[in-house]
Amino acid sequence: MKDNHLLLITGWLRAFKQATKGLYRNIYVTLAATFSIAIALTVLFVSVVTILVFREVVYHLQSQISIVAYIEKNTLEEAMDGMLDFIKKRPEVKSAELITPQEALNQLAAVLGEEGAIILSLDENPIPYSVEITLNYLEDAPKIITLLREIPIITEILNMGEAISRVSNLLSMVRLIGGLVFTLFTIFATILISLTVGLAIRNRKEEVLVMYLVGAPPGYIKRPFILEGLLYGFLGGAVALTILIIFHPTLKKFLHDMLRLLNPLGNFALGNWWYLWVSLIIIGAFIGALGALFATQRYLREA
Amino acid sequence: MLTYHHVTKVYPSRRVVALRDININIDEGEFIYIHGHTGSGKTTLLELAYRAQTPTFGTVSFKGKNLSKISYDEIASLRRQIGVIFQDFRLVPYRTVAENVSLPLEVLGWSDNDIKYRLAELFELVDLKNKGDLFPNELSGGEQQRVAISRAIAFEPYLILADEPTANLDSETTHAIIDLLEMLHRKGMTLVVATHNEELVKKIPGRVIRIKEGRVISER
Repeated sequence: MKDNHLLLITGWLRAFKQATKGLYRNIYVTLAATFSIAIALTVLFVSVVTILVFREVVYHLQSQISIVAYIEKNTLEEAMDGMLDFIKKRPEVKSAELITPQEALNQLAAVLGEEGAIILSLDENPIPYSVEITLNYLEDAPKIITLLREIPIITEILNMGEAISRVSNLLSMVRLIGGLVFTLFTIFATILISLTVGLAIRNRKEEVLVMYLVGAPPGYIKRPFILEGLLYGFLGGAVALTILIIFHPTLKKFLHDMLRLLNPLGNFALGNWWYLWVSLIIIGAFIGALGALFATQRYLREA
Repeated sequence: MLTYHHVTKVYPSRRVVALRDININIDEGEFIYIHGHTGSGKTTLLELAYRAQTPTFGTVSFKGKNLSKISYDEIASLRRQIGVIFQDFRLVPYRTVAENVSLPLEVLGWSDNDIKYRLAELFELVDLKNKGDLFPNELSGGEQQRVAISRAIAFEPYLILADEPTANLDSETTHAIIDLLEMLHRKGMTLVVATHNEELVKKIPGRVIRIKEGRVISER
């Protein structure tokens, strides 16, 4: 058993050595493969980052939208506190705050600007107590609104339905487009790598044929090609990363300018998504190996 | 060891009958020439032995196993017991001499040290010392064929099949190669050499099977 493991490790090490040799012995194929993968991964990365920035903006918009529920006049404070506790305990609720009539009046006056003075000069404050609720996910808004309607001391709920539904739809669309872009580019990169490794195999058809003739099992023949694909992907990922590091300020400026009207990006920085930078290399290597696996299945059958 | 039993091989796409009702039995330790002109069916006969082809009718058996009925893994295993030498050498151009010869040993899982030791032995045997780091295109035709022979015998196979091993070589190199094959025979290996070279067959003793248009026409 120990010998078998040793044999397997030796086999993989040898295949790795062979794959690295293949890289520089077929330097033109290596360069073509690395740069095509780098381009595919760069486009993939920029698309993913754009989608993530959109998502961030949509989440920000989401946090700006709150549900306001007005409370019946002359309600006892204990009843209001009890209701507030009940709302706060809901898992869908991010925050819930009791707004006094005076606070509400001040807010309204601030919004109205100069005309607000008239409001403040009124003898009687017409605004009742209210609760301002923000949610973790806007999708839960209908559920919470239904719940609030069942509370007897709530007289009215400020209708944010349209805004909620728009942001919610935008969020779903961003998720869908993000998923589609990622899937399409992953398929595109895999096909590209598959074709490139296929080219490498065709280029080395003689070697494959000789390996078959000396009794190499198919798995043994595939190994160096799969590792070679993995290395193409790894190198492609590294080149893509270098391109992105160089063009990082340009990309950031582009995204900032594009989204300025929707919402300032604030503290947002591409460097925050360190996991994307790392995954670029990992995804590259994975796609490389996957593409090579497809290519070996296809082209070794031909050989 | 190797048996052809009523073997007929037809290539339908080319509308060619390459072999017709062949019956040959090859025992361990034999040195056999398959003699015939180009297109007589020699190569097909050898290809059937290492399962690059299957017969249209009849059976080819190696060590009692019908080669038409073996799995993909068993084909690989069969080829790890048979060394094949080709007229066009079939060396990998971007692998060095040492890397070409070590290929079957790597497949068998030999360690780097064992391979190194075996290569030294082989290069001594076939007179290729100090050529291990060269690429095939840096060698003469005779040297390339010696590399191919080293690769074929590297793992000490039960059987060596040589398809026109001297076809592209001058007469001096031809004799050197045949001397080498004879030496391998004396070491106990079974050899089947396909050739169209009448002179060679006359000079070197051995069992000779003559084929013409896919039929065995004589045997001595």
